[in-house]
Amino acid sequence: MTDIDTGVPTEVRDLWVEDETMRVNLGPQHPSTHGVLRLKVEVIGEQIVSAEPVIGYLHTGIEKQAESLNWIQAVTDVTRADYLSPFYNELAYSLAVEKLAGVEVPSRGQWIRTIMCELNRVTSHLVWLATGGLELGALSMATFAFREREQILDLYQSVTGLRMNHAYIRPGGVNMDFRPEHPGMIRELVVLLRQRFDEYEQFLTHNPIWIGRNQGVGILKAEDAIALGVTGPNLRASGVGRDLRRLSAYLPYDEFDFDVPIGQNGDCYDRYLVRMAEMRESVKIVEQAIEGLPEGPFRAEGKFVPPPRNRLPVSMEAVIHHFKLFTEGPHVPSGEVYVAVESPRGELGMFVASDGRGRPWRVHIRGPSFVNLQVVSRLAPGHLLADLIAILASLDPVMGDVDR
Amino acid sequence: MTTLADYEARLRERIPDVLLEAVEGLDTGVLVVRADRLVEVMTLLRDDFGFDLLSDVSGVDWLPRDPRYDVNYHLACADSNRRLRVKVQLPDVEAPRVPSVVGVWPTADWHEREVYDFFGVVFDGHPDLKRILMPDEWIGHPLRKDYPVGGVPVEYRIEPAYIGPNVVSTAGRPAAGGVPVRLRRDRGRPSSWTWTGPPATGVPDRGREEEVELPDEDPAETT
Repeated sequence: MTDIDTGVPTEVRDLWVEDETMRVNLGPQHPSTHGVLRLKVEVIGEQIVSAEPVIGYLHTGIEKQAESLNWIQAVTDVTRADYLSPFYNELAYSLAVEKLAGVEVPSRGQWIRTIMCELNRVTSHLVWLATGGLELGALSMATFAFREREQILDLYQSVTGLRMNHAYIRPGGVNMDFRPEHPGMIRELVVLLRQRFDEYEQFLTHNPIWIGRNQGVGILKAEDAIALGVTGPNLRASGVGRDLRRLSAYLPYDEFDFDVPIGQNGDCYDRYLVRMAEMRESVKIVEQAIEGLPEGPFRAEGKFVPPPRNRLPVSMEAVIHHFKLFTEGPHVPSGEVYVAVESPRGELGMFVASDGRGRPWRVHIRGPSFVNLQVVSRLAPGHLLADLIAILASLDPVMGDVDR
Repeated sequence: MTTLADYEARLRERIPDVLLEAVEGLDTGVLVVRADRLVEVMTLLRDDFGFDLLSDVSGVDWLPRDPRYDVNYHLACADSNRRLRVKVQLPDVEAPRVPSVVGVWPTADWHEREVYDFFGVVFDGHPDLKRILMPDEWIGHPLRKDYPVGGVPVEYRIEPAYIGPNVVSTAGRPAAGGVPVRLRRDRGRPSSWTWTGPPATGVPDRGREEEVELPDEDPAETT
């Protein structure tokens, strides 16, 4: 005997209790939850009634640690927050310190920052694409996207010495200038990436399974997104064109021609489309920046940067400066400042307070993932458990940014 | 261009005696308001001043200043780069209280939980005020300035079974707030110990390592 409506054997059906829910614990050690995220999910059958993110498993006390480092050392600390977009953490922190100390970065330094940051937007989105594809069954996407990311990481290694957590952007400019071979490497990357983006789009954009898993799933309305503080591609997919690169001139973005892609429906598919388009725009910016890269110093002179190496044998002042910089560190006038930059995940804010001494009094990181993750509990109810994975993937949280 | 003076005048006109101070900061204008009428001010700022986005809530512990704590609300607009910082200042008590703004901006939920977790600021009217990043059973609020860096108990140090002839018991050592002291063997000098624990009381003496020579275990060795 089977139930006519559900096709379930009647003896099983009779065991069901109407409106009884089951609690499922997803994570924190689960490959589909993007790092150590735990979700307490309540389900009826496969339908989600509520989902509550439980975070803090990757809390490393970055803000507390920064208070015991000097102003320059703290760069190496904050860069570890959002480990997929380390340049942005460094950038936001450096901009905040520069604003407090009144340091002006020369234009070559700003352009190099722009190039590295926009490439970082691509690498960050590539990880989103790889893991998001993996979670929804597009297994080859993971290998494709990580392959291209590796090539960009090779460039990072060549420029900064490190593949991740570079501490390359520092108060006053960047740590090292481009070497003569780097513009060529970046031009090659631009050509390669354009071609690969086309391949990805062929692979996914019109793929019926991809569309079926993403379209109409996890719809975030614009007014809800703003009330919940969502920023970045997630907000733009809902149709709000808020992009800090356009709103505030923290880097010379007004020199470049680029578009801000906007979605319509605010579902997972639109978030996918927006990020795909953003990668192309970033490559466009990189291409323009490398062609117009100005000559000149790459970092400011003054107390935040070491003296040139060739001054050390001949100038006592240079030796004193060098010694003071690396033992005591520079002092920053007291004050507090909040600086926001458009990271690949949204508004990355850095609130930095100084008491006038050699160490930050308080560094607070407004992680965009931290805020964006809040919407999971709003988006998930009513969806199937499998859709929760699609929603999470499309929001692109990085737990290092959430837990800090 | 709407300036801070404009906000100040409009706020004084709409809600008298709530504004304590208006300062032009390095990045944006700062309004210091009375904590008890925060929700009223925030609702006005959202509805009439157009600050529809709450970017961030961050706490600062300004020990030994009085009032000790700052809670900064960073407001923004979704369609422009207009920003404003609203600040409330809270006294040095065990659990300073401020009204929750979750009703004004739902995004404040996790931000306020974070400030509660790290500074112990209690947000009245918050729907579910509990720790968010630290474990639920954690004692103390780590970002307060009198909470020492490195004051975390390390399991293999406080386990009594490990206290043997070469390990000094942590009993009787200066410990901050009941936090066990960490002991490290100094390899070069077998009979001396380097104490790398936190400073005993809460002074913003950040990152200091204190070296303490401890007496030898066995008096026969030294004589």
